[in-house]
Amino acid sequence: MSSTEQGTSSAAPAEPTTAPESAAAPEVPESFYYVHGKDKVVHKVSAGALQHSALIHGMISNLGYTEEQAKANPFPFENIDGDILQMVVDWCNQHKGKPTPPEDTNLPKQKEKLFDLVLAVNYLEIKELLTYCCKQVAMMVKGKSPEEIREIWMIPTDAEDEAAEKEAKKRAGKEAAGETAAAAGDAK
Amino acid sequence: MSSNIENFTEITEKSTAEPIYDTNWCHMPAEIKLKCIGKMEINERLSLRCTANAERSLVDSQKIEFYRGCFEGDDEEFRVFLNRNHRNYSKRSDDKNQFFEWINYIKKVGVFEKLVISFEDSLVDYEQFITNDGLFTAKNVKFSYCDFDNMIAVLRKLKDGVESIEINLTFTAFDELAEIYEIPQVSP
Repeated sequence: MSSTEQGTSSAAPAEPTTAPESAAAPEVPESFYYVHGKDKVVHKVSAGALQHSALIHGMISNLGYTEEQAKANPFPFENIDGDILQMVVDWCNQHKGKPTPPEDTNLPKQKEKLFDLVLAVNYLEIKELLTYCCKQVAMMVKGKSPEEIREIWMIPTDAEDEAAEKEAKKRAGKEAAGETAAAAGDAK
Repeated sequence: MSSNIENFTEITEKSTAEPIYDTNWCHMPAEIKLKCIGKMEINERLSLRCTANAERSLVDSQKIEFYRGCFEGDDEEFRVFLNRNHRNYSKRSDDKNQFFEWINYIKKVGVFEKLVISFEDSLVDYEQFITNDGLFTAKNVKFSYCDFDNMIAVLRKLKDGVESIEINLTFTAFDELAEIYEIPQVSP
């Protein structure tokens, strides 16, 4: 044991006069971009965090957006609820430059929120987060019977589906008939 | 009265401040549903495919990998043992029709590393077994205590890509080797 310690100390540089190159090099300031959702609340996100999103990353690199331009024109994601976008931004910040763990336990447990998150993440093309979300969705029905799954996910039965389809066809037929009658009236 | 109005205003404010979520499984695009199904284990997939026809065709389009699958049957009952991700699943049934309906699903979606077939009693008169043209996808196949005609039927139902076939032949069955070698999936 002691020999190891001795060996270590002797192997250590005796005169650490020069700092490592990486520490001496001036740090490149991190660039930030801005995004907003349906609620128009603007979120400031670092370029590193945004790398998780293939969509935004592509927009930045393909459009040649500068930080100033991005500040003046935040990326608008009108189809994403504000709190869902907040969740996505938080996740990207937490996992910035880090290898993603095999499990993520911080995802929402509420089904509707989770499904909204899935749609947002799919749209933003965040592969790792989408994998976690899909796993979480699958976990929602673990050990459940078909009836329970139908209830949890509000899946209509085939009979309900057929009835809804018939109703939609009927409505479309009525609307078409109404339009024809209106057109005939105009012609007179 | 005024307090009631205040309460009402407060409730309205609260309810409008909280986002309303109505997204559910039915709103997910098929590719996302497939990703989620890919994360489900066999029991959940079986439950989901019983909820509605649309879900059934989605589940049936998704392959599922098994390390080992063992299909057994005698004059009393039929049994299936499946091993996937270090977990075991089993199913027993004395209802031949129900069992083979289930086998046909597993055959369609299952990708087996090891497949063991052991049907002791001849199934040649059983139409659902003989006429079903679905193929087993397996790397290594073993026949153990299997009726010869059943074995021939299964060998004809193997998809290309089989690496090894192990057959425990009785002494009398050696005469029938020629018949086995005639099967395209077996002949080198």
